[in-house]
Amino acid sequence: MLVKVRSVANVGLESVPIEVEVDVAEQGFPGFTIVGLASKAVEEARERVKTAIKNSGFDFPPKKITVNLAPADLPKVGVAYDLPIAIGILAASQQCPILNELDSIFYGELSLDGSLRATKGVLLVGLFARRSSIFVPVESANEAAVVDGIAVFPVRNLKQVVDHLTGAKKMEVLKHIEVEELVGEELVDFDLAEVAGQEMAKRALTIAAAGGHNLLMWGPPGTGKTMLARTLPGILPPLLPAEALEVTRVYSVSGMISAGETIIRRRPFRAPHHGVSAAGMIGGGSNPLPGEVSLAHLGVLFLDEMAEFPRTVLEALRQPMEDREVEIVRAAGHVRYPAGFSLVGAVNPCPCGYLGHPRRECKCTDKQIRKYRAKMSGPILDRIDLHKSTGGRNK
Amino acid sequence: MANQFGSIEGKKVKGLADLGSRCPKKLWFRGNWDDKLFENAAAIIGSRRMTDYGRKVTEKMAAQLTAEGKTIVSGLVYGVDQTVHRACLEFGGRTVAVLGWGIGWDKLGDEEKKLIESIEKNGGLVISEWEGMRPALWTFAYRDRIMAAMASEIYVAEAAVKSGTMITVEWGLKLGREIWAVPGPVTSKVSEGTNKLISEGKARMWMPNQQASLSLRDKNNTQRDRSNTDIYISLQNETLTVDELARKLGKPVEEVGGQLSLLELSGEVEEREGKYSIINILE
Amino acid sequence: MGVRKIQEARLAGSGMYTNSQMRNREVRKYCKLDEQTEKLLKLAVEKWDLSARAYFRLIKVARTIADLAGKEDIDPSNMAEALQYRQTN
Repeated sequence: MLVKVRSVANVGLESVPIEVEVDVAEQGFPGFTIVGLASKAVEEARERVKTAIKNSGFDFPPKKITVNLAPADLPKVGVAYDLPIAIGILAASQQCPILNELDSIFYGELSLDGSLRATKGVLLVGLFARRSSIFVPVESANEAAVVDGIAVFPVRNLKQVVDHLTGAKKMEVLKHIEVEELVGEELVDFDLAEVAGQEMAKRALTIAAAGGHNLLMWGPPGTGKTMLARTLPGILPPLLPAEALEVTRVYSVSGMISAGETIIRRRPFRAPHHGVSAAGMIGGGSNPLPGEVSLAHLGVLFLDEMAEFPRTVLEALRQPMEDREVEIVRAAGHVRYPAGFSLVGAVNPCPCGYLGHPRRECKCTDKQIRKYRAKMSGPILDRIDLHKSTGGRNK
Repeated sequence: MANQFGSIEGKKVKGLADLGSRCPKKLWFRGNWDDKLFENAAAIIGSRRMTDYGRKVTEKMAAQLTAEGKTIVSGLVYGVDQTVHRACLEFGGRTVAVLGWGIGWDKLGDEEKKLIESIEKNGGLVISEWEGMRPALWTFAYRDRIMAAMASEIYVAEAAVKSGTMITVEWGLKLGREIWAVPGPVTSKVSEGTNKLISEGKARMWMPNQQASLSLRDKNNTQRDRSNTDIYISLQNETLTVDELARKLGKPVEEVGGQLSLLELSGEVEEREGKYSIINILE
Repeated sequence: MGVRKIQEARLAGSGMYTNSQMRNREVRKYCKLDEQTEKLLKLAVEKWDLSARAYFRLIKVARTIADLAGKEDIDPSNMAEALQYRQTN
């Protein structure tokens, strides 16, 4: 018997409908083949699905099982197809009905014991679903609670879904939440008022926040550059509901929404270490995931010790700073992630950090100082409107 | 950079004969040779790790000695030397740089190249006893004897106890040149040398003369309006940051910041690593 | 934030919504300077050997400072403050 189950693939922030076709044939040698998925993933999916089905108290049919994830030529990555495949197998072996739920979308990773694991990208599934119902892991379900017009079923385990489908025990739909209710509060982690002194630096931050300008702070260690940078997300105007959703989509795709969390309500603050790779900064990987610049979208990207970042990594910031988005090209196509971040940099005035310090002597030679300053990428400096020294405190 | 260098026999240069067997055979130079330059030459030397204090001292010294008509000799390296040459040029004086590397050695930074051009253009000289030698620890020690010999007086702005500057001083003492040193904070490593010279009687203590008449002002002297005056007064005796000034004067930082910009433009105030001070070299 | 609204109104139709996004063309169009302010800026460019890019950056910052003060036109004091945040290295 052939059964079709709906699911979704997220490519970047775009969602593509996937049809999971499951055929359980009477004839033919028993086997379990999955087509349309990368080979390594196939092995693992087979193990998870088979074991999950068995551990949920169902029979894994000893028949010729063929699963096709269509469209076949779309490279699909990720483990979210466990649930639709399992449901498909159970339906095709008549262990659960599916006719009533033809429109529903199934999405989620299975554990060996049959329970559903938090899975990336649930918000995008919800946004894609329009007026359908979606069956998604309970830990990720809240992401979709803000989407209008859909029914979100937070699934704990495989058996729960089947019981719902057979009518033995209906699941409750997740309560919808209005985004507006969640967003718009002045949520501030670090308040400018809490920073003592540094009035001029605070003024620079105020200007940066007001006009969307990038800021570079120069100063010896211990002058509060990090603390000052952390206040910026709070000074920026609060996220609009649409903006909150934008940020949440990026975090959802990155798997960075905590269990049970609904949406990201504050402007992000990202502070990657200067050892970050270009891919980590801009985004990349074989299944391109958002980089720091996208995780800082509509928030602040703070580069502490900016002179220590490799030139290539800093240069990679040019394009996103210009376009406010990142385009990652893969053999399979282009993926776009937003990258509308505000840049705040902090630099020491010289390699030892104490140039201009009132009490400590700078131990650097002229050559070291010039070389250090020349490290800062010209094109990036060109895009920074505000420079502020935080040093020079006399007391 | 031009590639034509002049040369002159070492012993023909005033003062170098005092070096006896250590007199350099030949000196290469850039610029127009003028014996008069060495009639009244004073060397101003000091630490590469010049502090803010050192810089002020150096500038005062250079200004005053230039006003007295002396040719200022120094070594072109980062720190006191470069400050000396620049200050001298700004006051319209002539300066001689004695290099710790060959006259034709070209791996200099842009700053140094620009300074060399300036020195030549303004009637000074850039001298070296080598043609193409690259700088090394020993080349500076060799250079120091020439500087000490050329000058009739040696002024030390800042120096650590064990430093290259002290080599020049030792030569100066050997050659019987007059040594002057500026006292500095006892907590500063780069004043330990100078303080020691003074306390051991090897150098006389130098203090700025308050009556010199040159002034370092821009021609576009923007009118100092009343609102600037209180800032100017506050900076008379101290170096302050914008924050400190604003707090002191009870004004908003942005206002004080703006006024400081104007004072910087008019050349009355300068900023270094966030701190502001008056440029009042000789008032 | 009122300041954001001012910018949105100013840049309506250009696809931008903050002063920092302005390119040279937008700066010329939306940030005309009066004679005194222009003179001050020119003086700064000369004295500190500022690049063309720095010139435009300064105007953008001065524009935001003026917006924060609720001023429609940029005045010399706004520019004087903007100069405090220029690149000095």
